[in-house]
Amino acid sequence: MSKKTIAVIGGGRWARAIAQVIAGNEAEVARVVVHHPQRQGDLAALGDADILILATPAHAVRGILAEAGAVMHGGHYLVHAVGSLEPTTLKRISEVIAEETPVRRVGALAGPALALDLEEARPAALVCGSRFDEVGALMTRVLSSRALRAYASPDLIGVELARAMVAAVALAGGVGQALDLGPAAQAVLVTRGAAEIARLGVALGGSERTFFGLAGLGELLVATQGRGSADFELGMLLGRGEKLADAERKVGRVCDGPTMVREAFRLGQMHRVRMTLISALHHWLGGERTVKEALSDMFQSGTRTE
Amino acid sequence: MRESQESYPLLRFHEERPLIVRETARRALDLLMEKSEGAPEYILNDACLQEIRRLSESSGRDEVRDLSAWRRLWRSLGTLSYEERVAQLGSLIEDYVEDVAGGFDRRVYNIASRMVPPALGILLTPEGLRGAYRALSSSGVEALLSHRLRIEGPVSELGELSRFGTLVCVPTHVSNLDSPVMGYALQLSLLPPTTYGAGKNLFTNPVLGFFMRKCGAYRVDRRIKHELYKDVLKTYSQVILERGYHSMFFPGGTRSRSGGVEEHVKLGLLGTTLPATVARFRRSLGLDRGPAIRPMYLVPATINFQLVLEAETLIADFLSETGKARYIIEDDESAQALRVLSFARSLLRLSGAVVVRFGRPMDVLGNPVDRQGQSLDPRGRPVDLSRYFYVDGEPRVVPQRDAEYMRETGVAIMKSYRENTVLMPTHLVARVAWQKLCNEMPNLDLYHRLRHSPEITLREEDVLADIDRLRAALRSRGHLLDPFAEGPAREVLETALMAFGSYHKCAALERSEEDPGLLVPRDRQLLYYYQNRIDSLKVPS
Repeated sequence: MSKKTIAVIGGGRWARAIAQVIAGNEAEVARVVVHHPQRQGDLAALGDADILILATPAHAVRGILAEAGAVMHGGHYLVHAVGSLEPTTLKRISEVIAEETPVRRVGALAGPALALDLEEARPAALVCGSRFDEVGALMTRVLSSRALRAYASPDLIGVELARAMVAAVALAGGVGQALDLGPAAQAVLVTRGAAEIARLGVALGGSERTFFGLAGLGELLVATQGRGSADFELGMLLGRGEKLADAERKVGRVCDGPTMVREAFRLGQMHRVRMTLISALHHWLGGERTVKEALSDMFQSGTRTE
Repeated sequence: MRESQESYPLLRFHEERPLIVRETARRALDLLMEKSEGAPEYILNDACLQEIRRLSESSGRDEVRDLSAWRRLWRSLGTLSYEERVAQLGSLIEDYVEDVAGGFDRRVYNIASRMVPPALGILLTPEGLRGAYRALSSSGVEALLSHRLRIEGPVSELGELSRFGTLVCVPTHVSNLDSPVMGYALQLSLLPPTTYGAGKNLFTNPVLGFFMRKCGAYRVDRRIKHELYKDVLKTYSQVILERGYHSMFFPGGTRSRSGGVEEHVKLGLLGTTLPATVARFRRSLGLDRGPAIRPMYLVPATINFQLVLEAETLIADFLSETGKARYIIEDDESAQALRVLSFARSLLRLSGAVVVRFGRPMDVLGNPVDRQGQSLDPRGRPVDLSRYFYVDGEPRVVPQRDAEYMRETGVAIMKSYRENTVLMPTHLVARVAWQKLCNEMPNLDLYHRLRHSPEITLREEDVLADIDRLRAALRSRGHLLDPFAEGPAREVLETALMAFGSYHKCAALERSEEDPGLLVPRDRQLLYYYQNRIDSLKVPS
């Protein structure tokens, strides 16, 4: 296989970190181009690349693709590293790609790897979900380094949903942290949360094992440890009694948790999926229950097999 | 500008048949030798064992080889030399190709072309045989069919594409009448005739079999499951596509049992459009030798019947499959009775209308194409189809990639089906009546609703109001209504009641004799069948 030219689309830290890892893989990569969507004039570089990696905020994806789609073609491989669903439509990013570009060979990256891990070459792992074997194979080759291990999965839907829904569980983890519930309760929140999003993910076409792999549980562990993700931080502030708008302002980063809680609840009802944690969060965020009542609802929701 | 009738590819099939058979046999042998990695005994062994098992259970007629021949071959496999095994494989392939390959006789085709309109005229005339005398006159045919068979969609665009490309029609499938209806719809639209694969069982009728065999249909024996046969079929399909024969596949694989529009499609033979397309690009680049291959364009189409000829049998079959033991054990005799239909009597009593609606043509990957055959992306920008197939600098077949491409093409075809399904009065009225039945029996499952014994009557006024509500919901979601379904609700109801009462053994719904303001569902299975057309479009209750 010849060396590949790769274009990373995105102007943020995450995009730059991915570009840095790939650029270091000289055995597989000929050239890396970073395309900043807000700068004009370098769309042609995208057309010449073999692999496109999209690492932008979810809300910007459609606009970027609508423009960049003009230089994309059927020979491209397009892999996104966007950690959420499209905000207004709640479509998966691969669905947006299908609506805006001619590219068919699409993949999604997820897993326990923060920008800082990639920048400092700390051990981390990513999984590339794609229905096309060749996309998974390509990405494992161009992403793998001494510190970063890359895996392939045929479960595109599962990888995208797992990563997006982790936000809801991370929010719950933050609340648990703020209430100082202790490690056992935290473990219950995380594992039951993972089980709930797995049930919903399966109902939406994903594979259960994806939700307990790197894209699901792997991301979740990173999101709920240490400083945690933006949603974890948001959950902590909310757990301490802050109003949602104030808390979001304090976090200062994009928080998908509240939206994902609402949508996971709606989808769970639609697909008749049992979601105790998500229901409790939904009713609490909607002001129908206090945080203590919500926790009580969750922990006393009836005896069931796991 | 359209393709002139004299240049229709099917008209030259008779001359090309020996070449096609030879080329198919050669390529199938190459393919199977490659798949078996030079060990043909594995493929022969699999074919022998499967055929011995099948023929031991039911000795079919018109077999390529009989049971004793398969047993002899199987016993000899261990003693044959490599050359002898290859020869046996080659001989078997040749026999299968000869069995599969269709034929074409221009005189028979001309006769059939003249016969189909009167035959359809009879079938689609409310008066049945009483209208036959009118149907048999050419002017009567035109008059009748113009009222009973309507063709919609981008017909002139398809005519343009057929001039320089190969059309691959992919219609919905609910009835055995679909093939002649599509054939006639193409003829009326001045589009070229297609070849198509037909179940081998249909060829057992000497008259039907004669016409089908002489008009380009090829034989598909669905009872044969081994890979060798499937590869022969696929190779044949690919060869005729590469040679520019307009083709027709039913992606549903078989008639819809539920009455719904296909929600899953089988992509086996349709999948041969991809290697044929790769071959096209390779030849155009001079990477492979051979004559130029025309681009292929998929043409989804929906065939929409007011009444379906085999409705009773199909829905009984559907319910026995999905209900399994619960249904069959409890009501076996009733289920049997519903399956028994007199086909001939049905033909002559059939009343109804049909709409064939062509969808927007697409390339083999499901991208829409314009009049010039240019593939377009979702935003309408031109895309280069060849680039989807390049690997290390040249177009190549990649089985996993192509299977995934084909799955996506299937999704595009099903989307087209949903967008182009035309809903008839029988569908609307059945939907409304079925919903009312469900409301009357809220806590029962499907099988109890179908078999719940107390007679339930529906107030006509309520049904009329619900027809209006349903139509509003369908329109708001962009679904298409037949003109007969667009009039006042009372006319829609009368049309449906007339249709239900004119053909089926037991009317799905009829007016109460005691109280004309009440409607009585008589055959709930049929109601369920016709309402499934709307149900499959995922319209909320």
